[in-house]
Amino acid sequence: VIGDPSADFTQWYAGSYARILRAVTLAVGDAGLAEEATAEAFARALVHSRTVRATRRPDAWVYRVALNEVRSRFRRNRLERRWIARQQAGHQAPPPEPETALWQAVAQLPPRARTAIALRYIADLPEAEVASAMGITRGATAATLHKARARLTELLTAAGLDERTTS
Amino acid sequence: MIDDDLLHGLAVARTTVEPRPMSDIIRRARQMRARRRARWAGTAVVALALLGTTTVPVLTNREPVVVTPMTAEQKDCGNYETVDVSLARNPDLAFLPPPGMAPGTTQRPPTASRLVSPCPMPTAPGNWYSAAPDGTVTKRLTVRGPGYPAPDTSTTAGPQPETVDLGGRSGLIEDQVPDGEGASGASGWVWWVEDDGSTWRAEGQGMSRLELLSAVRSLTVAGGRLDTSRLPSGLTDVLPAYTGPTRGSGDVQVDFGFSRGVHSQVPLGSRMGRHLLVTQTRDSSWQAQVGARPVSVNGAVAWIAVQGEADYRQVSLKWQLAPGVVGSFIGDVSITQAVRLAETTAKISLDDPRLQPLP
Repeated sequence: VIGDPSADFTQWYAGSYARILRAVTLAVGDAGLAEEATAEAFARALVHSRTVRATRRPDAWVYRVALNEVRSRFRRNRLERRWIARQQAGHQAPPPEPETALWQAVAQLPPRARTAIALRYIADLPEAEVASAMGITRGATAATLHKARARLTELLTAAGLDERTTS
Repeated sequence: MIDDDLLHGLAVARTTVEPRPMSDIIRRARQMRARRRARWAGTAVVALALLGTTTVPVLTNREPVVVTPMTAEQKDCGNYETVDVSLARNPDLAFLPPPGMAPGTTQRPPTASRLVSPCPMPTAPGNWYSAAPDGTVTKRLTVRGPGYPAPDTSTTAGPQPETVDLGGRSGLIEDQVPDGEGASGASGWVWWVEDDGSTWRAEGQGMSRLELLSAVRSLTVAGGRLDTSRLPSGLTDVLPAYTGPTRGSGDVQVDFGFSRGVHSQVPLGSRMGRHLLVTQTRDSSWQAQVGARPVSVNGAVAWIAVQGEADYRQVSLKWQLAPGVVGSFIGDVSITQAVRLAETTAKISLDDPRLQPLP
């Protein structure tokens, strides 16, 4: 029976939850769905703790599972229903993060570009891990990130934030 | 070009987020374990029957089942995942309502995905149900086989499947009743092996353990085929046999989201999208799910379910778009709107501008 998780797991969970949730939120574009997907991914990590422990980057494993949960329509719908049930049961959602101009600009990107930015810069994954988590090639990841940065520059410049935000 | 340091600033949070309680994660992990075992819990029965053994071990936490070595394929049966596929390679699934009919604009490009598992899911030749006077389905029995894949009993955590007598046959049962719910919310699975070695699994919804076992005991398999001419015990209606085309996997689905800009704002911050799923099917099991009731879509039987109330209300409608193709609409609309959308959804060409990616 799954009993108390190891101290390592608990420590890892406590230390990485907020960052992972933040990246998944930006990638998914919905705070509630992201919270459910993140929790689901950590629960899977607990089930497969031996496998996860053996990976070089357990965080990357969680990102891949969380994004896969959202990508599947069936599982996504299940997460949405669970989130609503949780609200009805009195769950207090985390306070919304004040959205900076940069955050808002990233949120305007297409889903794939948004996900790549979130994994590269919030999750701090190297490009190879971003590619693995997104299920695309490394070349496609580099191209996606390049286009995303170019588009962000345009968006921020248009918003009059070029001097502070671009180089 | 925007610099990397600035982008790394996205990681800097301005509010403190407390992780969800560890107890929630543990509880969910236990549920996953139980479901995983429930899905594959027939290994012992299947393996022993194939070996001609008549004894089926009683599975308890103290007596781990003796697992017969599985084939490489069987070992990975639970290791399924969803992968993106090209809609261009699945043009039979390109359906949309006409412009203006969708609740909002179809601004999000479709995504096509395939559920990939090393063990193909057998079709479901047996689909029976019972309904309340208003037509709402209250009990449901689905039987899949022959060839339901052997399960993995290597995991010994969580509730164990129990050996049951199925009237001369032995089987395993695993069932669960969610907290606070009676038989109406119950789910149960029974695995068994016929004398001819064929392997089957029955899934009961809205049925107590006794009802499920009684129904399974009344099933007849002859010559490797399930007899669908008779109603199982306790069920009153049968779904017509599937007669459409048989495709390879039967599990490609296309999600046409209507969500960008038309999310309904549900209190407390959750946003529910509106989505049209188009899915391949190889049997009738998509129909008559517990909680759904029949409605007419262009004169054909479709199935609609309403979940939640007031602000949380969500309508789910499933109907046949073409032979072997099922449409599912999910969204916070009225029943009339959902039916109207279904009736006007039609095949489109792959160069339809609504299918193009966003700029």
